[in-house]
Amino acid sequence: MNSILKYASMTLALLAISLAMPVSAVEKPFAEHKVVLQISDNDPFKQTLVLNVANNITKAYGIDNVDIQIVAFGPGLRLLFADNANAPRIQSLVDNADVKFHACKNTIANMGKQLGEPPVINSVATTDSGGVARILELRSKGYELIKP
Amino acid sequence: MKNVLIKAALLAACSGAMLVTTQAEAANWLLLQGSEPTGTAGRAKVWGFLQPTYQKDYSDITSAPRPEPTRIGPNLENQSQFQLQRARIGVRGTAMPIDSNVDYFIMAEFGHNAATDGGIYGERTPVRLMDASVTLNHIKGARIRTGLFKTPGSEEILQGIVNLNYINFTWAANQLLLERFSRGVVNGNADGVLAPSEFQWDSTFGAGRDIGVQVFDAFPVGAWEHSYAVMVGNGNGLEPGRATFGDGGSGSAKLDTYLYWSSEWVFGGEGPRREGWKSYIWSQTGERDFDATDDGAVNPTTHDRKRMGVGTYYRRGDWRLAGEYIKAEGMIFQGPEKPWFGIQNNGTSINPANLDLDGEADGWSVDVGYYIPGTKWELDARYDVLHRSSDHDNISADFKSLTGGIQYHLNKKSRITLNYENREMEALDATAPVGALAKGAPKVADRLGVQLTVIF
Repeated sequence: MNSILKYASMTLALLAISLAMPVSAVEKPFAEHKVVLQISDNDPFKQTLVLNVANNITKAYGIDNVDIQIVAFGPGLRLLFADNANAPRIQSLVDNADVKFHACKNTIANMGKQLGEPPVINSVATTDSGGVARILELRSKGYELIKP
Repeated sequence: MKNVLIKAALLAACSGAMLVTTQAEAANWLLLQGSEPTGTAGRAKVWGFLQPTYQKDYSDITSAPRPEPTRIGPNLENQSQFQLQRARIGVRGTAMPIDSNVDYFIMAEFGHNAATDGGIYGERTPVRLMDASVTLNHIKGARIRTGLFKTPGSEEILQGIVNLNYINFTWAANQLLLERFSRGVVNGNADGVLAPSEFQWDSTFGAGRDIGVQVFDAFPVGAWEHSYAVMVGNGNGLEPGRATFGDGGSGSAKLDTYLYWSSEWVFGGEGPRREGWKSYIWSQTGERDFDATDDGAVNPTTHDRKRMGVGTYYRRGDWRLAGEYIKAEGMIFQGPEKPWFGIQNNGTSINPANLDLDGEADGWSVDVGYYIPGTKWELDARYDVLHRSSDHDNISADFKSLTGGIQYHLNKKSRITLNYENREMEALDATAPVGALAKGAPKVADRLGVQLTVIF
């Protein structure tokens, strides 16, 4: 009985930890392909390109077979501004392709200094670390880095 | 005028009543030209377009006075000519890319048209500033645009000009909306009859633009998008500053006011070729001072200049349908060599009885386009009518055109346009004073045009 209780409490604890984690930080452990897409350019065309690439990869491998994370930092952070014209496409990728987005917290802070207040970031994105740090973390977990 | 307003109000009310629930995301002409897409615009995007053109007029009227439509503008010297009708280059973007609240737009014209060449009646300049505006997006629902830009109004004029499916404007748009500015000052010899040399143009034509400030925005409501614009401006077209009477212009002390409303049922897509069904209404009101008496004294009178219109535009799949009605009161333009809005007597003098400073005119047009599926060919047909000086018996005239067009799209940014215009001009009264426009005079005949458009 003790072992059952111990097992149940461990399961509940794991469940609680996983629920407490940001949604977009949850990776797909069984995905055959893991990709991190970097956007750090000011060029507006790159915004369209990175979203197109994410969409195409999902179509090519299937939602369950690929784990895509998009990390925005530097001038590329504009992609994840809450009022970005691409916001509907971003939401669609989250809803339909389970793509994860990450906004660099260092860039947010720096842009905040220029603007007088931090830019409002799209709520689908996580902001708990720097962009490059996030990329390094993902690469250490087997993600392939692609810079469209 | 009142009937038009009522019809337009009903049209807009019906549009608003038919709300459905899908999301409309695309922009319209107010937004396309007045603002940048949020968060995606660059600091400076260089762009422009070229439109080399050939036109030939088939009218068999060789003796003076020849009506201007028998010659190719803007110089109005020949019945056929090659010209670089438009050659524009511009820069637009967001001043500070991480702040989407400040946008700008600047564009210059290097081509050969009425903006750069007044022809035999005006001056020529190699380059003309066509647009230079800044838009502030800080207030949701009330964007503020200021500077030189297209005034809210007729779809034919307001649209990006490279999206015009024809080489030439309709009669009504050309004569009633693209304003020609006279000096307003008469320097006559007090003989009561003015010779053409005694009056002059103040500037090039207005090009559907003005310098002023505009408050505007668009509101998606389900599948619908409602837009508005309110603007006040100098009423002086492309000219910098404001030329009022006494300063070499004809503007009065009152600024011009522009109002615009549109409701569009958006089917899908975005940008200039967004699919949808739009209905719109607009008005422009101003005053112009004019000394219409050749009595040796400076005694100008103030005249209203009112323009308004209502129209609809439908685009879906391979089809395009459009129609617009335009009404004008005051300052009815009679042709490029008559800056004081009167008809000449055989090209030698102006009879004050032929002025139409307070007259009326109206015009309408219908347009249909069909993109042949699976090909690069597009077919166009347009019929347009102008009733000029309709309440002024001895100078009233009708203008009609049936234009057939073929467009071959080389790619998404380049196309060749072939137009053939079947034209009619006729004075309605037997006492019409002008030989070329008089009842029974030789007819203005057809016109052929070929144009290459390349957008970069």
